[in-house]
Amino acid sequence: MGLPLPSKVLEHILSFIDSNEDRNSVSLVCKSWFDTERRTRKRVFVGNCYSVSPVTVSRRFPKMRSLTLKGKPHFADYNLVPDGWGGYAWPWIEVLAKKNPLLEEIRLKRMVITDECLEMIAASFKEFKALVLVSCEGFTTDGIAAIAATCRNLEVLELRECIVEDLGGDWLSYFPESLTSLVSLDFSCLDSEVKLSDLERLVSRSPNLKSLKLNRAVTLEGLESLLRRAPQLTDLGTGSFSAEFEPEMFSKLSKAFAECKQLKSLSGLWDVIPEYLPALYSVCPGLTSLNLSYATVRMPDLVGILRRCWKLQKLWVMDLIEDKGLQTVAMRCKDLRELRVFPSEPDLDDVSVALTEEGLVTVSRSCRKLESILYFCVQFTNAALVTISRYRPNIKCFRLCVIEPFAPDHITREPLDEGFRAIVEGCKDLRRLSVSGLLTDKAFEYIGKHAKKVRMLSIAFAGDSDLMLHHLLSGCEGLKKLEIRDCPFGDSALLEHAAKLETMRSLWMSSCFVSFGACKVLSQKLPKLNVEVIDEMYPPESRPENSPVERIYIYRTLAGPRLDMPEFVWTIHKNPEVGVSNLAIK
Amino acid sequence: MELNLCLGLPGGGETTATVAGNKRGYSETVDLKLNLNNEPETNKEGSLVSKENTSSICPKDSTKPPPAKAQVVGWPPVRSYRKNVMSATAEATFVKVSMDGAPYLRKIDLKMYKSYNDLSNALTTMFSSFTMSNNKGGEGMIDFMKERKIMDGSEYVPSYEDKDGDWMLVGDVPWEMFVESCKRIRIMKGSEAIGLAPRAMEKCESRV
Repeated sequence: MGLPLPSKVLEHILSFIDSNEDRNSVSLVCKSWFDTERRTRKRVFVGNCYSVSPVTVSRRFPKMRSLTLKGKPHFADYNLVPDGWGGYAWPWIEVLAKKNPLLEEIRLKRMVITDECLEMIAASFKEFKALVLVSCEGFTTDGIAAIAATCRNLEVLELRECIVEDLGGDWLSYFPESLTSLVSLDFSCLDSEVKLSDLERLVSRSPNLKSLKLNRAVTLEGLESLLRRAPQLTDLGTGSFSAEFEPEMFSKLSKAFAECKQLKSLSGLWDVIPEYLPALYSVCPGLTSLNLSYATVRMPDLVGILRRCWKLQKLWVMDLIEDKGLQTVAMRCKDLRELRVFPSEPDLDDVSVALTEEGLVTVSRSCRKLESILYFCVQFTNAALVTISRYRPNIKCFRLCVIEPFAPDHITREPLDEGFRAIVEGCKDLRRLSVSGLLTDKAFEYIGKHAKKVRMLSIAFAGDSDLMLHHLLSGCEGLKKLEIRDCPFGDSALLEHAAKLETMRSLWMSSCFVSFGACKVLSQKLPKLNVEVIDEMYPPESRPENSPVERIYIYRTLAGPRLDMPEFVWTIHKNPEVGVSNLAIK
Repeated sequence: MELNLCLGLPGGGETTATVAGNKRGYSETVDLKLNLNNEPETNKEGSLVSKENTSSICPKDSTKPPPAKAQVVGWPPVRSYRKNVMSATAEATFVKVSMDGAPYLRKIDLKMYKSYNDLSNALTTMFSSFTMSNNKGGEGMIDFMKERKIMDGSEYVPSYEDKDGDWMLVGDVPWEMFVESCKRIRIMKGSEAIGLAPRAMEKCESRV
């Protein structure tokens, strides 16, 4: 038996370990390692805000400087989680304000945060540096003004795809003249126009500003003026990239872009007029990330830009790029790692088919580093999936959305089982998978058998029976998050593999055939899980036990039942007297 | 006439169908829907989305209401943020373009084109794989733009529905006026277009 390491030495060693996954492993070695680790952890990540109580986290990590929290389940992005479900930031902010006043950074995703909360953050954390809100809601521009006005050392303020009640553009003017520390500002999701002169002055006095993402209300002229003041930017989100074409404006804009020699990432480009696109040509060769997914321009215009972006690693674009445009990407963007192609027609109606499976096949063949794919497409084939898996065994994230539910291989009319089999067999490092199209239980047998490292799996309109769930829960060893909608399985697989649920972060099921009775059984069997029945139509107790419920959200938790459940969310804690039903438990 | 569909999902359902639009009789004859899935929908208990298969053109005299398309909550999985941004952009001038004999519709933004020539080139490219194998179709369209004559039955002629619901020949009015008034475009076989020209002329004259 060796001598125990003095804690000072252990602390020093641990200071080199950043990854929380590693730190979590360190914590399990023994009590003293657990203790030393927890006292030194600075960046804390909580993947489900209801999995643990704020007090527990605050107590365990006294030196916490950064907290990341995620609230609503992923399917909330697609309106599947009713308003008022939960995910409130307040209980966390309240505790941290008292116990961890040295907190510097708060990052929230899919949470509800109020102005009151924001004011409390501004007032309580004297060293506050960074606020990042992603897909959050519940606040107004007044709350943002409070942050701007009060946080003297603010470096990062990012609002990404939030739903903000916009009371006007005044919030920007609350940044004091003395604030010169800004590194990143993102207000792209706000509607109101901010005062350009205030923004110009803010940019001018922020020598460390590296990332600036403007909202749509900022004009081309405004953009040009800001670029002149911040040629050191590495990340730019333009405002509205459109105006009546004027050669003088064009030349000024081109010049301003030409001065931005460090620009690596470009986004925004709403309403872009093709005539102004060439103003970007000078920055294209340096770009590693390009988000054209809001740019409604035609393929030839897109190609004009993309053929110059030979260092591109990340490309987000709409299907307006067509197969032909993706050929250009395949030829020129050899360093591509991530590709996302979004539908220009978000509804099921009248989708154009100029983008087919061929586009993705072409890119997969030529771009050797391609490892992350999100692709919306009207049709697909098994052959294409097989080809993709053969050329790109290094894929880590594969999300295919065949827009038509139940769409088979459009040539052979077969289900896409064999295609996805190739993907999971061939891409051994696959971490995230979303499937679509016509799929039978067989597809899930393949996924269960081969997708050993997949952590997150998204499924919709697929499968035939409980077998599909049986395969997934018994096979996918690395599975942490499973979200399923509109699939025809019932109770039996879920109950049979109930224990698996304790090894996962969460399971979402909606519009399937799981019954209220099964939910009760699960709740009884597995007290370390919260089994939430989310049903807006009928309180589950009002109906027979074997009737299916609308939505179920199951997650492991140390915090017990949550105290902020709305009416339409039921857990067993709401009626603890309810006994276990007579369902046979195998 | 309106058609209301309600999908019965387990638990009372979270999706409802949209109402079929009030389509005019003429439109029914030209409306080609996207035909992707020839298979009958697998019949699941409690029925999930089921879309009617509309691969054929409805007969001219049909009084059958056009098939309704069901809208599914949260599908395709596009974030509401993105949907909102896109719908704000799309208010503009998107029109549907169909071509007789082609299996799908396209949607184009008229504001992306500067002239009839520009539009004509784009349409030719879009539908080039479906024009007659002797390639007359594509040329037929461009010729039409330049020479303004009705082609014989083997050629294609672009027509459009204007704000008043009338079908006109593309090319008769100044480009800007066309962009303002065009609601949808149908590239029809020349034989069907013969009745159109005189009306277009009258209309133009009555506007002057």
